[in-house]
Amino acid sequence: MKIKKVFPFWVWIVYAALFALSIPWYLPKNVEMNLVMGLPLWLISCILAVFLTACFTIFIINIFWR
Amino acid sequence: MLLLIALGLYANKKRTSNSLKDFYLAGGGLGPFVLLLTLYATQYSSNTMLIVPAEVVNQGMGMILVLGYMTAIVVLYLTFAPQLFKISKQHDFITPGDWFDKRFKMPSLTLVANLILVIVSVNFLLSQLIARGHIATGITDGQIPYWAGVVFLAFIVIIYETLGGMRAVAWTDVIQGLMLLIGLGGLFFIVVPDVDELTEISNWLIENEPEKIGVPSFDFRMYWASTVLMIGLGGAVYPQVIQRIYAAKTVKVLKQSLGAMVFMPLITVLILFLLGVISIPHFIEVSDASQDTALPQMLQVWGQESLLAFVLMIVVVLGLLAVIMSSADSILLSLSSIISKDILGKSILKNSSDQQLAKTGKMISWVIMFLIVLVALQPKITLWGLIELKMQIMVQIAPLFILGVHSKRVISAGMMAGLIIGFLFSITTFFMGYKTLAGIQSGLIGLLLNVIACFVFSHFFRNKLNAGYED
Repeated sequence: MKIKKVFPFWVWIVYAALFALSIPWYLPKNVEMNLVMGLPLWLISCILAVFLTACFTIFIINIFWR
Repeated sequence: MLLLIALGLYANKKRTSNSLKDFYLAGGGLGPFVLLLTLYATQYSSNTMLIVPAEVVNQGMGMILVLGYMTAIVVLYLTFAPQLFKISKQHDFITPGDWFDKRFKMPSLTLVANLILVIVSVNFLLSQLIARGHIATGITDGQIPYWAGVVFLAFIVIIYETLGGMRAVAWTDVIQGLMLLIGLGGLFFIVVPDVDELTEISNWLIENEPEKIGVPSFDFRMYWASTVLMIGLGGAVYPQVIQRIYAAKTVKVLKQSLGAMVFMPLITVLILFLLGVISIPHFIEVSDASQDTALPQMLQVWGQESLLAFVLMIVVVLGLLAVIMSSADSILLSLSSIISKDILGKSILKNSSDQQLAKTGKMISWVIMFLIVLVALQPKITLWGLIELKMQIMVQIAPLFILGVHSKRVISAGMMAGLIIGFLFSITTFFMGYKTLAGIQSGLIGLLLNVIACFVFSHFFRNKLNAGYED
């Protein structure tokens, strides 16, 4: 049974980075609350990271999965 | 409901043979539209629909983690789905056990893995029935009793599932998936606030419930990361999802469906999340924070605002019921295929024909449903409790697919040792009350032990046993 790799290794590195970005590690607990579009900035940045993950997924599916 | 049963009858007529493949995989020919909606309706169960608003009310905005894990599930399909799809077509796979057999060639490993899948699926089905009961009683303010919701759902699903198999389940999933999307659109239309209202709610939260809107604590962030990984990995290897990968007509169909699926969390989870946020002030006086019924209760409140809101509320409720049915039917179908083909078909029904096995599978569906209804009538655990238990166990199966596809070093004995260690660790810690250890989901720690044991045993037994991979 021969199994070929479909996605190059760097794809998983990018996913790991996007995953790290989707959780607000970079903010201290008691940071001042900034609201953007009525929601806290940390929440908007998490949603944005997930959106980027979805866009990246479309990209790699179309480029590498033949 | 009648339409769903009619579809079951139609699917029964459309079958091309009485084979197991036709019944459990619709002959392996699902197109992009049907595959997308059946994946969507299956993946977004009542758990997501009820848990997101309920846990946002309970735990605050940190529950945006659900958006992360629903996306992670689709990303983690990509770690094995392209290869598994190809192999499944070459070897006519029907159940997840077919892959375990082909890759590891160890009947006892397939049996243990299948038993774990059965435990997880029974748990999942149970949560769907409990959710149905909560919705029935929540939206009617107790006028429809909990038990009636449970029994009615079970009855409808079992009828069309045994009539039409995967074909009926996939077709009804299309209707149910569309109903869910329309329902969510309606819900968005009724209640989701504009920026000014959101700002007002956020300011109210900052003043009254700061812990629900502030940056989550370090411990919660650890919990967040480990939950996304654990549920992402566990959700990607649901047996009903694996069978949908097998059932895709071509690789192009699978690519298109997964490409669309990755955006579904941003539509579905975000709407539910915002609904949870605006519900927080409403539940502030409620001391008991077990809010599995938060969404149904809020629907009842919102439905009283105007006639249009009432009509849209009905659409939402239908969408909710639809999504519960679509998850329940898919699990039931998968469960009966595992028990009839992989467990009984390899033991006491070894010499039975495909037709007999498919018939046995249908009978098993009825028995399972009856037993689970009995348990669902007396729920002893919240939905979030059930989902955590399910995923702590389910994630232990992930290496069989991901390492099975990617690692030549892994052999069957290593996989068996890892699976048993991971499984025992997860259930022991869960029932001892340690759902997390140092903030990390104990199922994920179990997975780590699972993988380490797998490689260690594979290394030491490699020369003694056939690796199986090189076939």
